[in-house]
Amino acid sequence: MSNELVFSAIALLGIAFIVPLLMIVTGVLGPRVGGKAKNEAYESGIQHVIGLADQKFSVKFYLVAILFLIFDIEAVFMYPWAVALRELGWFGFIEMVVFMLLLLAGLIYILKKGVLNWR
Amino acid sequence: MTDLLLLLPVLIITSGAILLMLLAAFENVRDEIACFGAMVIFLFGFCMQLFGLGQGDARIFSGVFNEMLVGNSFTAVAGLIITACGFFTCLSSHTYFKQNRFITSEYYALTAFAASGMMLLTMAQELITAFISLEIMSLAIYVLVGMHRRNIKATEAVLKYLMLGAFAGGFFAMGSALMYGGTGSTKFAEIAGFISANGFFASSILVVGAFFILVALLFKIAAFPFHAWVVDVYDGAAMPVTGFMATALKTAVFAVFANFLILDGGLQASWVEYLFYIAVFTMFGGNLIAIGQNSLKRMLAASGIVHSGYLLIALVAFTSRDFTANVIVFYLAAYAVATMGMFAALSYLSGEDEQRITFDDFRGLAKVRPFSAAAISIFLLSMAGIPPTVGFMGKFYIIVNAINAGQVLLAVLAIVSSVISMWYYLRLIITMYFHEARDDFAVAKSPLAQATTFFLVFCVFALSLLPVSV
Repeated sequence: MSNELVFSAIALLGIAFIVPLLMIVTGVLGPRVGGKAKNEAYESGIQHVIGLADQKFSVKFYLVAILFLIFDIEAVFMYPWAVALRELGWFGFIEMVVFMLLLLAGLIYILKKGVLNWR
Repeated sequence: MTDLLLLLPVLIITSGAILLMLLAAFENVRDEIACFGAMVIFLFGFCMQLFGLGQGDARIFSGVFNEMLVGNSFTAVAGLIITACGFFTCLSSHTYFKQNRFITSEYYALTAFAASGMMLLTMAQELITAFISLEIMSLAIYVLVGMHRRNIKATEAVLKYLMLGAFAGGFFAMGSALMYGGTGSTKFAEIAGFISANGFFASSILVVGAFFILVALLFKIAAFPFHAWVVDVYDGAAMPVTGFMATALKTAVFAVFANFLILDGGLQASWVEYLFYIAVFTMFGGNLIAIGQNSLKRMLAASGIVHSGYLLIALVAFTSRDFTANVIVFYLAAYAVATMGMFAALSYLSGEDEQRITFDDFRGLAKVRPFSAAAISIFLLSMAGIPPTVGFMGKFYIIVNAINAGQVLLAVLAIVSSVISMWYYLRLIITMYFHEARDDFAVAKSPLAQATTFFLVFCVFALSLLPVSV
């Protein structure tokens, strides 16, 4: 056992005790302010969360958010690619075309499925 | 040219999956067309994969991929098992979804996506590639598990699996980062080289990173401390999906586990002590869980834990790189054949909405459907390891390998465990043969699952004749 291992084990134990301790202490010492608005569950804009946890509700917002994420990441990938395009040459270009075609297939799929129609 | 041939199966399955996905976008395409399309793709991939057999290590397109992927006989056989499992899953799904109507055509695209991730995983020689292919595989499998959206059990299963699987994925990513910090490389070979040069405990970051990756891999193969999810998840998933998970997923993860450990003695030697106990606890813990189960699916899930234990023995008892790899892949094939056959049989026997699922539901099956009962018995005997089945040969090689490596205690414990496992395998045979039938065991009109079952019975005997080179 090296010193570093002992140190990291102590650090781990320390975290394991300190974090729960802090949570308990804030619960005991902290001020308690009630109120309807505070006690209501916040569910990303959906008001009045009622019923069981497995009930169905509209997924439109989530779908749009996820789709935005996918195509946003596509754009993010293109910046470093554009900077390095000269060094990558034709190989990099073809790689990017393949990547874009894969995403295009995904776009065709979601268009056909009507995900972008806001009903 | 060889590079292309080795990579071609993955390319076929991946592009096939994308085609199936586009096909599923058109509403007038029937599920059956997607099903047959998927079968053709898997069969084609299987045939292409045959070219990879009998080759040494070939770094696929080493210039382009920076030696991330390696193709050899080991990965080729693992690929064959995965594509074959995909093919048989499609066959049994065709029958299963005649009676359980919650299919969408995306089902087959997702199966193909999962298979492509698994095949990449078997070839991965580098932590980030392994992580990405692990996630491609897992994400598709999560959706497959939760395919039956209106079923509360399937929802429970997918929630449990997603939560725990996401944690395992996180552990793997964290472990990769730490290992890179400790060794300066993410390639398996270079990590192993660093360890054999400097020792495992030279860097504490490396120890923690290796521990994290071990946790993630043990979770995915459902080994002892991380086995609790497997029973509920297998129980909630649809029958063919469970079969696919039990066989193909386990093959892929064990392949990367073996690649990671065995590539060079360095890593394996530092973990062997812990893996010894994990293997023992996995075998006996799995047996204890399996004995208490009343549902066939849950029993098979628990017996999957036990089989993971046997495979871990092969990882502990490392003799020579080739022989141990052969033993692992042979056992994976043996387990896949019997388990796939079992789930194919259950796909058509379980009936509408999986109504026949417990031991009692199969009372007197032999009186009504003697051939199906005989097939199930053969699969069970193969899993238990009775000669002349392939399961016996698989266990035989595992034990020979263990004794060659000097792990005699482990070999003895494996035999004890397989004797204990007779309890729940023979229990089903007794239920099928020594009780009067109360059910008429009506099955769906599609003969494909039956065909799969009887073909796999043939495989149980045919594969046992395959020699494993020492």
